[in-house]
Amino acid sequence: MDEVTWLEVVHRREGVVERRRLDGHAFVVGRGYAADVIVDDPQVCATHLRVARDDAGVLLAEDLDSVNGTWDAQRRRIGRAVLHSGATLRIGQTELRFIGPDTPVPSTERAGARGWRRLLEPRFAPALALVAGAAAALEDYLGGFTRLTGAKATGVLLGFVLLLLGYAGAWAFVSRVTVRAFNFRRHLTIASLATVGTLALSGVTGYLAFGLPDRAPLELAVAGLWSGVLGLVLSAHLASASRLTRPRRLKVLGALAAVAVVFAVVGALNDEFSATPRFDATIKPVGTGLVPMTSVDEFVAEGTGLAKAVDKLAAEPRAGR
Amino acid sequence: MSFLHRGFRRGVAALGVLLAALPALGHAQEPGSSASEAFRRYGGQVLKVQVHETSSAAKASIGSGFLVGADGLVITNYHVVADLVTEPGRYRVEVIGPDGEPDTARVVALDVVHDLAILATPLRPAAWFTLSDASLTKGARLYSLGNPEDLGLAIVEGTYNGLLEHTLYPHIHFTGAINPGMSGGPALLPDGRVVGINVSTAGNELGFLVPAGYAAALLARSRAAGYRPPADWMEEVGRQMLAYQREYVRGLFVGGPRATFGRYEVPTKPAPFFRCWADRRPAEEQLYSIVDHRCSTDDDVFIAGDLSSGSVTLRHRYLGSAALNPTRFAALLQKIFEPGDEGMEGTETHLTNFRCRTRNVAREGHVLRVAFCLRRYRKLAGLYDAVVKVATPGDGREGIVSTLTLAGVSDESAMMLARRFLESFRWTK
Repeated sequence: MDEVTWLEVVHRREGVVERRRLDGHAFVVGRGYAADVIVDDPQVCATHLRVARDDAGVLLAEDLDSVNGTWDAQRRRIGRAVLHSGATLRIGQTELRFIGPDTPVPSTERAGARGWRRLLEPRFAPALALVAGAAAALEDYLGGFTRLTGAKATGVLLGFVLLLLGYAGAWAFVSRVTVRAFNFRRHLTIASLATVGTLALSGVTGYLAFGLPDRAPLELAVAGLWSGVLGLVLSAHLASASRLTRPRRLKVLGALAAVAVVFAVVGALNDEFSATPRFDATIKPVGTGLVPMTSVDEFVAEGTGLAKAVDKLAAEPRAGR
Repeated sequence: MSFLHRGFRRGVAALGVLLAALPALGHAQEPGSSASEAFRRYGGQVLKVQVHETSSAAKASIGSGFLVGADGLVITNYHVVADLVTEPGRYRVEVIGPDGEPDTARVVALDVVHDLAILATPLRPAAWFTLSDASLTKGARLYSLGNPEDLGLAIVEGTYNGLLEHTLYPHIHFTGAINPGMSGGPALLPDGRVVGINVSTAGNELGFLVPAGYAAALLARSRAAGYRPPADWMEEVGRQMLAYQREYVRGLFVGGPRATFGRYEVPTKPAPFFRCWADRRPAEEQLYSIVDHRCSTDDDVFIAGDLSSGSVTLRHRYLGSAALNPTRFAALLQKIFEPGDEGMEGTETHLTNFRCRTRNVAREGHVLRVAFCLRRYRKLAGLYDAVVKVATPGDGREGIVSTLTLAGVSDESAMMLARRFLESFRWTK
């Protein structure tokens, strides 16, 4: 059994508000000034709880006939309880954690992160936003075929940076409400990195779609990749905009992914009538030798499969008829 | 050819308006002295053809027809009686002679490609028309008879102006005011021989006739079959379309003329009856130029009010640019290659959705990006519409996007033409 050496008072929203070293003397937890550890929680009594060691040195908690009671981790109301290292009690809306000296803490963050991680520091957020804007402007240029002017390129760049600022601002507003801190530059960093990553990924997937068109497994893999990126971005935002622990964030993302899959399946099954053909029209400046090719014979032979597919459609009863 | 009776039908290039009823005012014409003579002698052999919806007894369409035998056989246009064929049981047809008394008729034969139908009626006339495929000279006088706008039997004097070359089969070009409602009526020589059947108009006295030879052939086929209608009309329509496409598809892209655009040499004018246009559009802000080259026939085959078929179109768009880098040029090429401008139309009643396949196809050491799409006619087994769209992605700042559309062909024909089309792409350097 670990020796309990510390008491942490954890406020529902503000996190740890006090740490007290336990020195062998009994002490009282409550809202009143007679208490040794004062907890500013309206649901806590003036003298709510007493903590003391017995003769054998075992740490005990004793409820002092409080109005709202003292509750253990299993949500049972207790009168007296033995406290081991790691034990938690709840009084009112406040949590009391009893921890020992061996409780692990995250490894030390080096002052001034090294390598590319330094880019994640808040002070680089505006620069990253500019890089993202430049990437968007480059994409706009390469994906278009109209004359480029300095004014137009600047317009696209600034327009996109404004968009990022607005987006990060929205997350910052949410963060202010949920965790009482704007974390604006964190959200801006996430959004900027997401932009650059998304543009790079769409470039790669564009070339993949060109080289290997109409391949269902590839399309599925690409769709998976996209949802992974989206999940990552959302998770990063949530880390700064909520108190959700990593497992809880994963649960939220899992639920969102399930919804997305449902939408994707519904979308894929939707075969509403259109007189216009739909096909993969990706064109990339790639010549022979660099992409897998089929012969005219092989290609024309695939028409048999198409004919079978539309024969099947013709045989199906039409929806709503 | 476009269409004015219950809905508007748009083809690749409007040749005319089918004549089975509805708007457009007639153009008064001074009748020659022999016109009144012709009307007096032959008017009695021309009938009004009326299609009724069975449950409401409302008129569904009106056209004209004419007697061709003592046994009461009447020739009219297929499009006048198409409702009976596409939705059997819902419609009935009757003919009304000069006495104004309606007689029930039934369809015994049809030729969907040449827009002709034969009706059997209880009439036992004393006089009827003879069909003639006499060769005429331009300017020959013709009289067209029919019921324009359901206003009563009328005669229109006009002239023969030769055969149209850019249609799926030759139509007679008739200069004279024929109007909706005259569909199926006869166009005759002053001696009474019928040389054509009124079928469509493009307005301004531009009229079109089906040469009477096709009606004579249909009559002969029907006589050989004992004037017995087929068991299933839609099956018959499908059979005729399949037989028809087998014939004309054979001659497409065979040793025809070729066009050169930049480094590309591609086929043009798939057959002599196609008409081609080209125009060079000014480049957007001078960064690139497009040459747009299109070929099509002037008409297509009417099957139902919302279904036409039989058209073949070919389009090349050649793009060149000195200013765009290859990546940006590819974006331009992709914009032109994207689906949506193939001009395919149709409704869910008659057609399935398209299914497509895109591949990179090797051709003479170059890449062709090809999309091949098929859809099927729901009620016409073995009949498909096909789209083949080709782009050349790997040629730097030069490229061509070519589209071939085929309506109403078999899957074998679609695949054969796709092959001919792809194999006809050449690079001159």
